[in-house]
Amino acid sequence: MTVQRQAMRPVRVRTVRWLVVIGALILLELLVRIGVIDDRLVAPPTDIARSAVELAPTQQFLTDLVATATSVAVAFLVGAALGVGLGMLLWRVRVLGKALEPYLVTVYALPTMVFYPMLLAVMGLGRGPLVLVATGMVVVPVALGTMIALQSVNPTLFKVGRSLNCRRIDLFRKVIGPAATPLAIPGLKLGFIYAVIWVIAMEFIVATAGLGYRVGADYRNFDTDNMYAYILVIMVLSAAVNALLTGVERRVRRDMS
Amino acid sequence: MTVDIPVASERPDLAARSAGIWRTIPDDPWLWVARVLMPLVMLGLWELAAHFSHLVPGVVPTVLTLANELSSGDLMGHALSTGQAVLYGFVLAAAFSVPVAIAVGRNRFVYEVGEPLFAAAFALPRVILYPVMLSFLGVGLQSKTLMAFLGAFFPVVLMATAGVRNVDEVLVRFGRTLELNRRRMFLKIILPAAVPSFLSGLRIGFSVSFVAVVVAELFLARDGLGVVIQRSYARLQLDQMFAAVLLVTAAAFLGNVLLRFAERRLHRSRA
Repeated sequence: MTVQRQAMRPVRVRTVRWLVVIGALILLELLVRIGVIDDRLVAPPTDIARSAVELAPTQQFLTDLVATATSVAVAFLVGAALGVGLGMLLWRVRVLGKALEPYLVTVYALPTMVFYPMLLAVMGLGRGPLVLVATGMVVVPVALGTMIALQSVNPTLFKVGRSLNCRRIDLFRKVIGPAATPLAIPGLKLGFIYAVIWVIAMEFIVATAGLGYRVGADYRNFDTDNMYAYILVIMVLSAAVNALLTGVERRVRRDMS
Repeated sequence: MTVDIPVASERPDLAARSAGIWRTIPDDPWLWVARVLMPLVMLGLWELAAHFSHLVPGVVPTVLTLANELSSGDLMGHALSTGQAVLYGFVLAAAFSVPVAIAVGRNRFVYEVGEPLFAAAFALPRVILYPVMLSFLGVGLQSKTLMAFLGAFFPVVLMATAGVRNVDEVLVRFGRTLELNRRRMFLKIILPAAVPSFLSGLRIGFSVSFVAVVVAELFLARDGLGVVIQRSYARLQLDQMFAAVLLVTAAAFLGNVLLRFAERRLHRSRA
């Protein structure tokens, strides 16, 4: 069994990765152009890319983008705030933490989406229930991540703070906060990704505007060109968001720990 | 300093406590109380919502509607249709994940190339690919199975790969001292060590694939629980809709509990 002892040169890894992606796209392009894949089912990637670019300045696209972006922003900001608060509570009151943790983890399996009919009945049609469902899905990873981050803080730090006679608030601001923040970043990152995923998924099923909605509407209207353009936009956006967050995570970890 | 560790034969009362169903009660009784209270709190909140909104049926009427629909209506058929897609997709994902986990887990280069692609794919909302599947595979079992497959794929491959990667190096070196060939090393050392993570992944994967199928059915499908929910919402038959939602919730919860039980069973028989 070979054991790779030399470090993987990052340039080489990145090159291979890009080659894989571009190779797959070229393959798809060829298959559609030749006719192996019916071009009524899917347009060649270059055509999809072109229609996506043409799509960008249109009014419809901007409206959809704004709707999705604001929903994601609200869901994430509210969800993260609640999540951090809940995480801190679960850490301080240990019985609550231990009792609630398995139920919180169940939310991954059984999303807050099941409450959608109830929210709909209570709040009526509109983006409210959609944003609330997404917010619920953000709270869980952020709360769990914050709880774990606080639990992972080196206990020596608490003793140091206490030995220096810190006030409670100073202990939080100067000691625990900076120590726990880099550890809590993965939870926040996952929360943001979930915000994007669930806003778009809920839009796809129940909304009247937004990027997710547009994909569903285009399918129903047999507007496959527009549909694929929007799918491409969503893919690019989610990959970009993921890359950005990973970069932020790395930066925070490097600067703070 | 000697420590007296009680032996089961000498302390039958403690032995009984640590066996069977008593194992589910943790040492802290308050924890047990809190864990039992949580579902009751949820039911209570539901009743509260029903009280305030005449559009939300109460807990008992929903359960009665559900029982009625299951026995006399065609809800069972829909449930089986959903279950079939979930089962097929889930089993395919489990089978597919084994070679992938091995390839990625034991080869550092493949892992470094593939991991960011995997993470980027995870960030994509899978549902938007469903119309593409419908175009290629039509409206029916195949599309739903593919959605279930994609749903289960991520958690199962993630956990399986982690299991293969994190095999205790001591065990691997032990295998090498025995001069095991590649196949034996794999079958006897790596696979058994990776099984617990794999089972964990299966448990999560089942739940995610179940949700994925129901969500796909909410958009468009021939039959299934999502179709029932969508249809009863469109017809404003809210009591039927809530009954179907309750069934989906209960089924996902039950599946999760059963798999967790199986996981723990296997853990105990190996440990």
